[in-house]
Amino acid sequence: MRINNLTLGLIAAGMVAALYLAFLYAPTEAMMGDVQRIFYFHVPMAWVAFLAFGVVFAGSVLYLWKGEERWDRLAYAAAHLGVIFTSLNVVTGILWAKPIWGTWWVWDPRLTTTTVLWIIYIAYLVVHNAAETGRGSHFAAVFGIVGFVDVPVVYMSIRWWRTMHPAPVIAGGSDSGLAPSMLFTLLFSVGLFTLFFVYLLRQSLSLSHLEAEVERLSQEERGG
Amino acid sequence: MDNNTGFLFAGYAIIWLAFFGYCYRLSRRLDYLRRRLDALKRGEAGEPRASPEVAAAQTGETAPL
Repeated sequence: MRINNLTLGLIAAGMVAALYLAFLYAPTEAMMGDVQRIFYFHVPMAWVAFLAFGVVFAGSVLYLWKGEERWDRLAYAAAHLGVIFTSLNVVTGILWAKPIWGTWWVWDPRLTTTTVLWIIYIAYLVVHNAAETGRGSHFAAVFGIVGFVDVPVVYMSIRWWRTMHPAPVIAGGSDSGLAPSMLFTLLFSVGLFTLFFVYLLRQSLSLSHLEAEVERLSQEERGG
Repeated sequence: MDNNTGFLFAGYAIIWLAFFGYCYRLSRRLDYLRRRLDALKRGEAGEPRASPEVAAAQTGETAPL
């Protein structure tokens, strides 16, 4: 409990610092103005979603390989969080697109591949919940492995195809890059949301262990 | 600040509301399950049967993978 409270306190303090960095420390971008500051939370949402889907992939492989339920629980909890972070990434992207592109949405390669990714993991959750316990987990694990193929496609979409989405600012071409204060703000936010993801994943795992134990004891009680 | 700040604040507000809502829901569900597990155990004679993972979850610590 103490470690959880300490982590949560650290995250809360970090959130205040991240807001300060995004709104006051980072300079205003010359072309887009203040609305560009969405970037400091939009990109970390995408990074954490990719990380979550990587955990789904690893958990699904281990579940199919070893057949241990704990790996399925890990994959399921990570998929849940991945869908939430992807949703927030899409929503912040929409709010950034409207004032800059003049439209809420375009079927651009980055937006389209991200939508496909979102649908894949919603399908993962539906399959996991719909079928009976063992079979649902097995089908979902296959989904979690195959669906991960879309993650590198989303990442590379702005390199492979012509797109309205801004070009990559890290590991992009020779003309890409960020001012040091912008880069620091971005990396701080990425680190903070990674820590937040780890915290939420641990809490979700605790929840699933408790649910399983309550279910087991309830069944025993019903059985006499 | 320019005239697009409404979009900026809407973006940040949605993120905070989503996270607060999610954390609140998660903590309510954890509290409920801990109470339910306590009640189930009180209804049983004998030694507690919780696994080490669940014992960790009950005390708020994270269960090992």
